[in-house]
Amino acid sequence: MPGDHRRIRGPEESQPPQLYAAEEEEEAPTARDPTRLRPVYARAGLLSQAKGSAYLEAGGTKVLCAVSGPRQAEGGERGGGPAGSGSEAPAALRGRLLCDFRRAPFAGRRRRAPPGGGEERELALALQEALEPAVRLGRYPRAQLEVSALLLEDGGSALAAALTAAALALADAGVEMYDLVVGCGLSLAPEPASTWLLDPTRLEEEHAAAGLTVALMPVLNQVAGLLGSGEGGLIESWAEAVRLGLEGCQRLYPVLQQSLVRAARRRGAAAQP
Amino acid sequence: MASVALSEAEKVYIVHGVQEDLRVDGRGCEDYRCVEVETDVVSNTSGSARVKLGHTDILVGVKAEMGTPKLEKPNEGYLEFFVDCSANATPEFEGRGGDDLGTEIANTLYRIFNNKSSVDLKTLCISPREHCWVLYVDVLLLECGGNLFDAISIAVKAALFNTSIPRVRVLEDEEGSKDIELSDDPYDCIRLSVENVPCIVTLCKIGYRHVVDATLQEEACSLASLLVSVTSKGVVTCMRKVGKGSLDPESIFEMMEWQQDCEA
Repeated sequence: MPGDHRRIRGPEESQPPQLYAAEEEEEAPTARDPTRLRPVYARAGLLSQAKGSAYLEAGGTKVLCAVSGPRQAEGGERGGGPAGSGSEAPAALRGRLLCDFRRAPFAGRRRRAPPGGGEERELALALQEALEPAVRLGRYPRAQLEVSALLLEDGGSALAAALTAAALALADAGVEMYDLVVGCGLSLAPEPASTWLLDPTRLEEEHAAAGLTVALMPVLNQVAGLLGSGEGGLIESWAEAVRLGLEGCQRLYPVLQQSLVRAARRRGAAAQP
Repeated sequence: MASVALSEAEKVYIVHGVQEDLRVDGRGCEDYRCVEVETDVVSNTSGSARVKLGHTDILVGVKAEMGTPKLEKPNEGYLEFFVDCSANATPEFEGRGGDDLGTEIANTLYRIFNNKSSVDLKTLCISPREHCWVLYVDVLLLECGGNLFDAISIAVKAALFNTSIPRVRVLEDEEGSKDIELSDDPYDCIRLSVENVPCIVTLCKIGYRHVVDATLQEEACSLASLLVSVTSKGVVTCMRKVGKGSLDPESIFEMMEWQQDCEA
């Protein structure tokens, strides 16, 4: 269309045809071992333009993450947040981590226009809160690191996969970290089963009564992030879910280590000739 | 969050005091400050509440308006949250400064109410697929004295308790066109049941211990806190770690047990 350089938007009110489809048999998620983790494919160092990058695939969930920086921080000195424990650089000199989480419009069942609104901001904040404990921001004074996660397909536990990919990308970029951050998703199967399922698929998440994402730093055994909501029942049930999630994170760690080693070898081999 | 400048000596003082179960204002680690809740403070709203928790001052107004139900849930009304951090609270919130904090709090509120049991949304439906009540919950942060989430959740609960939605009837003509009629009696209204509306309990980790209802100074000394939203029956609807630091798994379990007792 001549002159229209912006994305061509559909009619104001457009809905997908599934809403009007006849009520068909809803597929119920099949029963499975609650502690099974889907096989994961992780690759670091695939984007040439980014300082560090990682791609993670777990079942149907595909996430691509890129890290750029350290770059000079914008915004000048902003009153400074609360200073750290005193041994690190004072607040005004600490580096900043800016996280961005984006969902591709075709990622879910329904098309979601790119400025996803509140949900993406919330998940970006969750990413930042989970990655900050792991990165040695004191070593990057007045600089900012930009992490951007792009969800290509949502097959369940998207935030957990994004967390893991972001940590891998940071490690691939050579940013100083205390430890990798591994994320794991859980969901509570609805009545009557009421068990917590590790690493849910999208179908299980849709039918779930509650969902939880746990981020763990495996070697230090510290929980870096926790975000959950829904009708989970009593607190003992959530405590059990957190335990299950932490176990899942520990099991995922060796795969990530291997992918980083492979990426380093690849980089070494490419640098030689 | 709004921050306060603390010297190293003050921080050490607070941290050591907390280890001994003694806080700066004389409370124990598990004591709340005195809460004042006042409802029906704003006359133009369907419901309102004001909560003062120490130096934290929150004003919530609920307005009920008619709208169309969401496509996926044609038989239910819904709630919309908006949090405004006014510049009166701290100078940092001037202009767009308070927007980030506002969206964070609003997102947390959406998360807490994002389940079937908190508020019975079916009572907000007028006619399926066509009309429903939309409750616009607007939170105004008047003064920031620490522990925002707890105070806001108490204020929202009180405002929802105070909300009265006028009763409407849908009349159908012979031609099929629908007309909405408001009842003549101004006191004929629907009240919401807030039994299952959860309240947030935030525990801040300071040193090796955790404190409830932290002031701004204590929040500055704490690297991480755990936020749990619990109903009076003990049902947890949301759990979140806030802050830049990390938490030990054992301390998380301890804090969670603690929060359940706290809510009861």
